[in-house]
Order: sequence, then C-alpha cells, then structure tokens
Amino acid sequence: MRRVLIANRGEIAIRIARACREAGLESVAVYSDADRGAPHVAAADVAVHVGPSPARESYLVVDKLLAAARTSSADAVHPGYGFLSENAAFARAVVDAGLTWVGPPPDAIATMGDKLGARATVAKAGVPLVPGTELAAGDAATARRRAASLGYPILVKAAAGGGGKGMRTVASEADLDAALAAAAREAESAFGDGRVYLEKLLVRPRHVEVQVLADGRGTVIHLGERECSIQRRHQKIVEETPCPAVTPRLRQEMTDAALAAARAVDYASAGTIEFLLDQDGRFYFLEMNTRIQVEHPITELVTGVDLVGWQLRIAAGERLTLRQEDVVARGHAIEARLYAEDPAQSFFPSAAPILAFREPAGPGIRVDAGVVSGTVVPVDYDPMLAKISAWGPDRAAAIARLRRALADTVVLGPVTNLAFLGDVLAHPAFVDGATHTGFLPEHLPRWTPAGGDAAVAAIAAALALARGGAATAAADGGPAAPPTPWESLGAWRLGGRA
Amino acid sequence: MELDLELDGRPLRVRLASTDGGWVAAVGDEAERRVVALRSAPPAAGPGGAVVETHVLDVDGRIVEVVTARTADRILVAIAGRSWSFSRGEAARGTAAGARGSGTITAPMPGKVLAVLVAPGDAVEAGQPLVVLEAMKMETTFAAEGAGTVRAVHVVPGATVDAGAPLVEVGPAA
Repeated sequence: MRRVLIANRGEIAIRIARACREAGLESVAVYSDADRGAPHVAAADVAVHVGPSPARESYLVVDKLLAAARTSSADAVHPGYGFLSENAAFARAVVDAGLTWVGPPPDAIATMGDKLGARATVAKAGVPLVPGTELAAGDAATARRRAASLGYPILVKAAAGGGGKGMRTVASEADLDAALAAAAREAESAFGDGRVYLEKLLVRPRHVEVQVLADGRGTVIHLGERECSIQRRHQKIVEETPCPAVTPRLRQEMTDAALAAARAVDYASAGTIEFLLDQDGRFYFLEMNTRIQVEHPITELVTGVDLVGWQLRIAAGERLTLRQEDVVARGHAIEARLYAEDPAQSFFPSAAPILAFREPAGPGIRVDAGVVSGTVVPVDYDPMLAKISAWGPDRAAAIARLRRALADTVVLGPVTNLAFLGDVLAHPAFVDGATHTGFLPEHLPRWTPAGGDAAVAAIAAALALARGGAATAAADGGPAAPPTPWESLGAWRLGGRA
Repeated sequence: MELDLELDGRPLRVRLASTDGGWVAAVGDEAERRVVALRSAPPAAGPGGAVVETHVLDVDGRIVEVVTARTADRILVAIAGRSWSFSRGEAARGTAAGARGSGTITAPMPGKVLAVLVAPGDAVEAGQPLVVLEAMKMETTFAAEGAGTVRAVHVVPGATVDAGAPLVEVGPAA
C-alpha cells in the first residue's frame, strides 16, 4: 500500500489525508465541480476531478471513483463516512479492481447495512434489540396494524438508513401514512432504497455507542463508549465520552455486547455499535456503522489511539498490536459540530460564501474543519463546516474549554449553529449530564439567538459602515471624505489615501 | 454622525461622536458608551467583494474583539461566538411584513421542490404544510404562518428553485 484514494470530501477527507501523510502514504483527493480548490484537495498529494457538483454525478459514482484510482495509480481506497462508505457493492468493486479497501469486509458492510438483517444477526449473538425492530413496514394496512400492536409513539426508519435520513417520529395513526411516504421518499433520495421499518419509540433514551477496532484476524477490542444524545433531525450535533450515565458495570455489559456484534460479522477495521440506553439502564442495539464515525475525535482524545491510522495499518495487513488492557481512557472529551444552518429556522441549511472563518486554539482543543475563509458552502452536500472538540481532565473542564473555544470561533457569511452550540453546552440540564435524544426539543424549543451584546455589535457595524463610505469616495476619486471613525483612530490607512 | 441600521427588521440608529482618542457611541435610547480602538488589522478582501476587518475595541473598559464583514448590502459582525447581520436602514425600509398569515413563502436557499400540498383557492390553517423542499439532502416542510387563502402557487413538484424564489402566496382568509 503506497497511495490511498480518498473517496470523500470535507473535513473527513482532510483527516484521512493527514493520517496518510503521517503513515508515509501518498493520498489522492477526488473533487466535484463545486469542490475545485476545496481545502480537502489542498490536503492531498494528487487530485482527480470526478464530475459535476451533485453527489449522484460525482462522489456517489463507483465507476468514476475507480477510474480516478486507476489514473492516479492509487492502490487503496478509503471511503470516509457518508457517500459510498457503507456501500458493499463499492467495497466489492474496489477489491475486484485489485485495490485495497480501507474498511471492513464487504460482507460485513452488507449484513450490517441492511438494518433488518443486522438485527437478526446480532440478536443471534445475544445482543438486545429495541422492540419491533424486526418488523418491515410493508404496505400501508400492514404498517398500521404493526404500529398499533407496538403502540404509539413509533419511529419509521429506512432499512438502508443512517444519519437520520429517512426517519420520522409518528405520534399517532393519523400521521402514519404521511410519515411513511416522507421517510420512503427521503430514503430513496439518500440511499436509492426506499424500504422502511417500524420501531417502538423509547421514552427519553440516551444514544450511546461503542467504538470497536478489529484486525480481521481474530483480535477485536473496544475503545469505550460515546454519548451522542444531542440531536436535531435525528442527527448528532454534540457528542461526549465517557457517557455520564454509564457505570463501570454497564460499560462492561455494553462493550461485551458490542464486541459480540462485531464478531458476529467477522468485523475488521474501525466500527461503531450504536445503542439506545433507557432510563432504567437497559440498552438496545440500534445499528452498527461499518465505517469511521464523524465523532471519532473524542475517542482519540481520551484514549490517545489514532483510529484512522489504525484503519490504514489494518488495511495494509498489520495485526492489531494494541491489546484491550492497553486502551485506557483518560479524562473527558466533547465534540460540537459546527453547521451552516439556522437553528432558529428549523435548522434549515444556509448556503453562502464564508467571508471570514477563524478556528479556535488553546489547551485541549482539536479542530477538524473542512472549510477556510472564502469557501462557498455548496448546496449539494451536508452543511457541516467543522468539528470542534475539547479535552479536559473531567467533564466540567471539558465543557468549560469547549465553551471557551466556541466563543473564540468566528464564522461570517452563512448562518451557523455556533451560538446555539454554546447555549446547549451552557444549559443546566446539559451541565448536569441529564441528556436524552429529545433534549433539544425539550430544553431549547423555539430557540432564538439571544445573549451577547447587540448594541456593541451595532456600534461595530456602524463604524465599519462609516469606513465603507470613505472607501467608496476614495475609489471614485471624489473629494476626500471626512475622517471616518476607524481612520481617525490612526491604526491604518486605505490604499491611495495615505 | 448618525447611521441607520436594521437588525431583524428593527431599525437601529447609532450615533457616533469623536472624542479625544476615541468615540462616544450610543445605540437608540441607550446610554452612551466610550469606545477606543486598540488595534485594527488591515482589511482583507473576502469573496464577492466583501471587506473583512478585525478590531480590538475597549468599550467602557471591557475588551471586545470584533470581526466584521461588509458586503454590498449587509454588515456581519462576530463577537464572542455570536454573530449579527445588519442591513443599512435605507435599503431595508418599506418592506414591512404583511399581516400575519399573509405573504409569500420564498425558498431560503436553492433546492428542489418535492411536493406541493395546496392549490390556489385553498383555505389553510396556521401550521398547515404548503410545500416540501429538498436542499442539502434534507427535506424541509414550509407551513402557513397563519390562517388564510392560497392566492398563488409558483412551483410544481420536481422544479429546481433558486434562493428567494417565491413558492406559495397566502392572502387573508376569504
């Protein structure tokens, strides 16, 4: 293995390119029209154009990616997350083309990718399931009958799903038909597979997942759990490790179940087993993500284990020399996902050029960003801009560091969830660790950006505006404008008006 | 000097007066604040002709680091993890929102129309879904803000729309 094609974009493509460079491997970026000159292209050694901006015509086209691997002489493919990362046909095509697949065996992807098949497989290994999850929705009449027998509220989920796409909460039978149609449509659009199934909705559960690492030669270890309960649209925006509700005994049980699930599909590479944890400390298998996870940095922060680095080493045929007893989690880590979306408008995405972007820094802070100043957030992809993570010796320290880091972050241009993230971390229920998957609707419904000093911002805007007037006058060659606030302060002069 | 700004549709008048070494600034009826610029980084050119500036201000004895981005019609301001989008008062005047429940629903960004759930003449209730739009692979449903009658439908399912494109017009209840 010498040269790895990264079949992805954004921050994860950069993360992988960095891991390649650290491992002495070359990396090949792929890019669509919208991503020409994107930061992930700059992070690689070689870059190949793979088509128009829509992902269906570029990042999701197997033949184009394989052709890119050929023309760039890549000998391995890392899929990242999303896009084709959990597409078994892509994994098989990579292997059939004589390339190394940096990921789990295609059969493991296929088994876990079919959520109904996955449940049957892990149930055989003794892993507990959420009630109802073995039921396909079937036709409308069947769905109504099955939903009624489970009891509302229920969830409609995509069989091929992940990332909250094709998922709907249904409070009563009146909403079932519309939810089934919307979920099927969204699943068809996102995954090309519109099959959906039903699941009993648990009351105030936590989303807790276990990171595993396996070498495909019999060694499977876990790297502890992550709690990812803070979700909007069923997508995570704040994740932490360890989970405040997991006791050492529960951790033993959950990680045992996760290892059993991974072994049930002869897993290799990095993977994540997701569970729901109810208020009584019972946990249920949700699904297994057969890829690197967005929130992997927090596990890396507390364990010191380089998960992407290990993906590359395992793909290259190395044994997992890391033993379970070598993995010691230290302190606490929290990740906040910075999105170009408006939390005050149903989290609607905001596509706009980034006029100014400044990453935070300082002790315990890690930033995985996919954008720089000048990047235009494309409408074609997920609008995540960056992941900002903080490590601290304990949970309170990690929260304090992350809040400080978010306050030091600047994004101007698109509307973002930056202030919202700060408010989540400051919320007393979050500080108490009293989190569950309904946290945001319960604690921050109808959120609007409050706080901060709007008057000081208005003064700054007025000063900037006054300066702008002077710049126009100077450019027009007109009469010298009266001194503007900034200029009269003498810090600098506009060009041509020395 | 007086400058008229708007924030979320509300007018804000900022008065600036030069003093020795700084400025006295007041927003609306609020108390005056003493502002001194301790450092101003050279402005940088951003995309689309935007001008980006970073300033360290002392406002009534507190240090405030400000990043501003000035475009043709807006001034964006970031302070301590919060941001504000001001428009110039003149430009935004005369666009007072219509009566609640009336008005045109527009696409906030480019996307694809997945479903149109109403037809002209339909009576709609507050919160009733009107149009389903897909953008950035997410579905969003646009609902009526109040009760009214659908005046016009400007899109069909499958259509691609630009940001700002009118989707559905809702008038007062018939």
